[in-house]
Amino acid sequence: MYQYNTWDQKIVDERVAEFRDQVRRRLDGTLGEDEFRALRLMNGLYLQRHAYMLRVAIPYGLLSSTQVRMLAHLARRYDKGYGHITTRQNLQYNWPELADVPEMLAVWASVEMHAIQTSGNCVRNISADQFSGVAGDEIEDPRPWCELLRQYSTFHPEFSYLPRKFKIALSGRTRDAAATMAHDIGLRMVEGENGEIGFKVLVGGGLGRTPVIGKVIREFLPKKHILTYTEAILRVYNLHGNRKNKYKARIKILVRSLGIDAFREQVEQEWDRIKDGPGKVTQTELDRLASFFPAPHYDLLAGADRSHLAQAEDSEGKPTDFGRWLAHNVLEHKIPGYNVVMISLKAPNIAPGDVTDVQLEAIADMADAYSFGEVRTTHEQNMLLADVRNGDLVALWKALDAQGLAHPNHGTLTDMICCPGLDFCSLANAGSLDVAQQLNDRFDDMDYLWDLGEIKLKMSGCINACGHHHVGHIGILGINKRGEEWYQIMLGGSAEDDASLGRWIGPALPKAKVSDAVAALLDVYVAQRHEGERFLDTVRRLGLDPFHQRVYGDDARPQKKKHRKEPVDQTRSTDSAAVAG
Amino acid sequence: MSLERWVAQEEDLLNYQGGKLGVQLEGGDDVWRLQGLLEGLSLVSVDFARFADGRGYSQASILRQHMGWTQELRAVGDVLRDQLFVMSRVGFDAFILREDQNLEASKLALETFSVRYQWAADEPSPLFRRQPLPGQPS
Repeated sequence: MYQYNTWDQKIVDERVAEFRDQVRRRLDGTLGEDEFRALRLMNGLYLQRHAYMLRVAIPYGLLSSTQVRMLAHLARRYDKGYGHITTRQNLQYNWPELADVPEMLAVWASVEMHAIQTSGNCVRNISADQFSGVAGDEIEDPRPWCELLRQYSTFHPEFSYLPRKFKIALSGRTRDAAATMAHDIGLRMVEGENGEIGFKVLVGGGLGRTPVIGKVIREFLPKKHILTYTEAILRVYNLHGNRKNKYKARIKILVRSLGIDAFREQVEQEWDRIKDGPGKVTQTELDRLASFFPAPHYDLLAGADRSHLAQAEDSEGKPTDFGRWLAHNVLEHKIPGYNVVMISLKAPNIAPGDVTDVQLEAIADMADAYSFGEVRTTHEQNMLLADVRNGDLVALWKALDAQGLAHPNHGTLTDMICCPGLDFCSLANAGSLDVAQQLNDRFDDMDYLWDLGEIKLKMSGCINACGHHHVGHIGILGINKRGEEWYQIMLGGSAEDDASLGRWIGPALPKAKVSDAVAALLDVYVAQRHEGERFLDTVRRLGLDPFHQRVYGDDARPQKKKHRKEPVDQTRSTDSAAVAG
Repeated sequence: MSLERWVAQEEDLLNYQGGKLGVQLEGGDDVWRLQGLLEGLSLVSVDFARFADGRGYSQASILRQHMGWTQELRAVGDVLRDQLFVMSRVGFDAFILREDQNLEASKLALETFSVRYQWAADEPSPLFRRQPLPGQPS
């Protein structure tokens, strides 16, 4: 992975000094909260419902074991002993004290970590496909490009005060696991003519109040132009993005109002001016960055060891606990004899995506012992070990199981994306964690979950959609209805190449009814699915009526407007709009 | 004077003998309208109505990097010491601080960072072109 040189180290050290001074001035009153707010957000420090929240950057989701141990140490020393993995591969602490934050940042700087630009109206953490470098369908590893963009966007002086946040994601595979369609800029590595590899550039995707799937602004961009093209997009956005209405300020709104063709014209006009300048990336720099992501020293004989398979079944041929974990949480790797191991942070009584200091330290040890000293955070709020040999799987499973990290639910209903919700977030309208608990309690039969197969359930506690409910196979949105927590359910969303936005199945439901409703949806699927059909496929084939009928008991689904393009108005009771008779 | 006035009266004002001429850009102004109209001006100032309104940074970048403006580029309005470093990077070389800002501290703020990754008005090349950078230790 990337290692800081003296300049990289200097810049984070200088940032720590700058922020230390800003906190000092805030605490002694010489810097007002209004001005401090913009500055602290640019350093990942939110003020939430009960306390500050600090979001540490995990660039493109990659961590060394040393860094993981430091995350554990700081959780223990300065927080309540745990952290939370986000959909952008970062880690959040929910309870730091303002006065401690500069010291935390200084400690992180010593292990090449920071919280720079994890919030605020600037370019945020560059996220990547968590299977980079190890997936069989990879065209090219996008991580050197992520690092290039990370450096480019760090303290970019022109783009430190954008109209709104700006998120970039990269994917180097044919299958998109980085949700590039739901980002402000999505970069897909593609093969062009003559086998040259470049980027397909998507722009203007995003969720939140106005979900939009990104549009292709350029089918093929040669690699060396990645920085200048990004600069052109950012400059057009910085100048023309909405500055009056925060809810209309993302680039997706600008792209929609201009139309993609007019937007492209403006970007390419600007790009023409700069593309042959010094912003063109040199081969030397490409080679330098690529040198930090070499293939590990794989054991070429690892594939010959298949002894772990014998442990997967008992004497009667039934799967053992190890066997069940192997079947669901261990994924294919492009090198024979190696495996990608999903570390499930979705155990039954845990808030989805949370991980304790003790677990983190154990994970660091496992990384050192079994995966070349590296760990990754995933877009779906889990962690993974990317390079585990067949021969180490049993030992790894035991270590994970001892920490409660081996719950064999990867890819199933309970492997959900879930925001922190009303318990933590001052923006939330409803709780999400207790609904997650309700679902975990209700759907605790693993055989049933495995039989259901792949289901991506995504839940948000408010319309800001941090839980990505618009692109869930099942999406759940918590709303505030007359002071109570109610939940709307949508079906048929996807954040992959078949990207689609979910649609509501009917009126909002009270909290206590959510798991009943989900159970009803699953009943329809089980009754009506074709051989080999995923839940999402069945939804797309059947449409929403059968699901609505089973949940609400009506004969016919009420006539409802097509999925709104305008933000859902929270002050109106959303179910009254749905019921027509 | 405002951009509008300069654009409308530029020809007449070129003969102005009463002193120096300057244009003040507001956030919503299209900086490209100054293209070809810069001669005769000795000052362009950019008004930051709120410090978080970042349009002025692009206006400055375009003036310096695309339009070849070499004379005084001044930041006025909600100008705080915490933005001075990035302002100077995009080409501002004069600042009227907001009244409550500490002058001495502001001077120091111009030196907040010694490392600059990107090319900008103050530095035509990105870091990777300026320095030989170490690769992966073997």
